[in-house]
Amino acid sequence: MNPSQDRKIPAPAVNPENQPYFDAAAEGKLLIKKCISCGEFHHYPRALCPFCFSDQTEWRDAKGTGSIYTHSVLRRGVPVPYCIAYVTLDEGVNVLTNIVDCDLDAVKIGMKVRVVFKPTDGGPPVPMFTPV
Amino acid sequence: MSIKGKACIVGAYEHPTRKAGDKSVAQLHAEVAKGALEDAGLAKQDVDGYFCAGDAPGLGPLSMAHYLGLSLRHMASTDTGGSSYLIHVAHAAQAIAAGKCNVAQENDFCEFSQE
Repeated sequence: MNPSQDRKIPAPAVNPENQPYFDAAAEGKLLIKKCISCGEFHHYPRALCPFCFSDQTEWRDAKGTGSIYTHSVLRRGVPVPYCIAYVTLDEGVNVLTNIVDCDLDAVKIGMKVRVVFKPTDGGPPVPMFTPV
Repeated sequence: MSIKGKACIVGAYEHPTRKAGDKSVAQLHAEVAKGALEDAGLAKQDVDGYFCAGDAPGLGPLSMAHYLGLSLRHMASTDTGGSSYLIHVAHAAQAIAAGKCNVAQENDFCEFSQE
């Protein structure tokens, strides 16, 4: 058993391009971007679509569920052990994130997860994921 | 050994804003890249070389390539302050002459005040 503990998360770098993402996170909502020109979702949010370069990108509510694509538990050289992971959202995009509120030894590739929002040190909350 | 004629500049673009308080730095890089590619009549997929300097966010070309969705064979980030971009042109020409890349995108950027 290696229960996760809350750790100090530095405030993210908020800018005019990603402000709506963090405003939504403060309300407990996960947003991703969809390109109107080519139809692809992408994350992290950009003003120009990273696939077709169109500026016709719009915010969409993400379902907030997905599965773990890969993960790694950091134990050495950190004040509190934590799990960094890529989560593939149901919408198909990969999110670089942490797996939280769980037994770190039990985290597995393919595990189903859902979004939770964790406070940061002086900034807006950030989305992270926990096993369902 | 001269590389004269081995590479040429095919597109250029100047961002129309002067005070871009509603855009991120990375976004400005993307918009000038898009404008230059449109001027050249090329697509983003044609780009296989990328150059930027310390004004680009994150790790420079690595972060920018990820942000822009580029598939690169060559990247460089020589930083000599405001003259970086002139050196990038020389390095891009050398890379093209050596066959390291075919289409080099060079993000020439001045620090914008975001007050």
